Amino acid sequence: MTDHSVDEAKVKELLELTQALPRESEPPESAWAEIRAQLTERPAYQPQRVATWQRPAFLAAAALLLVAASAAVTSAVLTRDRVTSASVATAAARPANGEGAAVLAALTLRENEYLQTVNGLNELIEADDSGLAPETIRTIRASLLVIDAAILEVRQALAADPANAQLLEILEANYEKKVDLLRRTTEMARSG
Amino acid sequence: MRLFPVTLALAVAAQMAPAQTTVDRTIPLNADGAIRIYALAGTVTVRAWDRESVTIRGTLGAGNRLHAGGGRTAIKAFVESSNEEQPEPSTLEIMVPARAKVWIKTATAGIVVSGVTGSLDAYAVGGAIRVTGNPADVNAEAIDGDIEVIGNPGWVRAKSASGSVLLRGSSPDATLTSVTGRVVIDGKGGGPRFERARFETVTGDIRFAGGIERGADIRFDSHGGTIDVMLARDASADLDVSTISGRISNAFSSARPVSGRYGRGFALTTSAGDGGARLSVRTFKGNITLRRST
Repeated sequence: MTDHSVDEAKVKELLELTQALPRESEPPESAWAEIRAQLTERPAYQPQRVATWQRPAFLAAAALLLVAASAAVTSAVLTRDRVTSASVATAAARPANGEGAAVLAALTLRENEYLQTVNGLNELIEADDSGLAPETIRTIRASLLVIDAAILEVRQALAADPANAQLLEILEANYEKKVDLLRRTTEMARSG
Repeated sequence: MRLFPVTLALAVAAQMAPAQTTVDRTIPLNADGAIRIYALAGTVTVRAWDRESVTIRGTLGAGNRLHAGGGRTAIKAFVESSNEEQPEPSTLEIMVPARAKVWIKTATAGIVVSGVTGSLDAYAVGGAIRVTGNPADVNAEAIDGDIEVIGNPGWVRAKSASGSVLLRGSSPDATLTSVTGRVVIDGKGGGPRFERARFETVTGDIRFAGGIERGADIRFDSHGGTIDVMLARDASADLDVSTISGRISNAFSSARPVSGRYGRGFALTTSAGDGGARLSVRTFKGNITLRRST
């Protein structure tokens, strides 16, 4: 486990706990009576002055900035093919519901596996004794950037729609393509 | 007048440069023997014949040497370059038994193979690969070279990173992929129908025209490339088509695309004939077109 990796055991544990949770739970009967009593004691709602930073437009703009910043971080992370907590956090930042969180936790595990494979293969290709010509490495890098851009697009879509299993399949297919390209390249460099 | 010294220098350099050499060697090999060929730059052309021997003819680039040898069951032939960083191109024409197992690897050299009916592995980092005939199986891989297979191999895997991948023919078992290049399958000329096939790109377009076997499992997958599928008029198939942000154009049946399963994009499920064959067509943002051949 390197400092670039997430703690798989903890994520697995979280995933199991999430899946074990009941779909819904009713509050105890006594709770309603207490809530009712507190509501009657509380004075009527008075609109208060809302700070600029709390206004919806400001929050929306801030959210957009956050998404853009997250996308940039993800792009940088994926381009370097390194797993960081930021890349995982981007996908898990806005789970829509429990199902989305579980899906994203599962995604995190799979993604971590892919990125570890990718890192290992990348190191082999970048090694001085790989035997690959510089122009070949440039071509491979260009192709990897195209795949990374595709991965990023799907991850952004997934961040907005975390329960979409189809997006997960597409993301996984893109990772498969990346791993396949790297694996083929290393095999070509080795065989002779 | 200034050109004179330059011209003279070039002429002297040409005289001093090591000359190209020709090769012509014949080595016995069983009809189903194996041959491994390795060359960096130039062209490697492999043709099949009905003799139990291998003949290597051609021209070696300056500073290159051919090493070839082996027994009746296996032969290895490779071109050694004095400068592996910038190898001089060699042109080799190699005759092999038709049923031989052929393995070829090059760096920038193009690979041309014809008539082989045994198995074929061809790897070209930067060169193009062209295979003609009906090998039992073809495994062709390139990084930025194009791959073209003309014929009906029993099994084919053809993968390129930035080059295009073309199959002019068909195969019961086919996987063709490219990252940015096109994947084109033109199987209108007959041959065995596709039974199991994967056609994949990231941004390259995919175009398919061919026959599919009853019970076939055919998958098309592209992130941003367009996918154009043209099936035979009498094709029996169940199609499952989806795109996240592309469009679906269906001229294959009367069914219309509906909103995607998860509220995004479009999906289309349709059948033709008695069904049976399963076709899955999927993009993230590429457009999809379904058609019937006229």
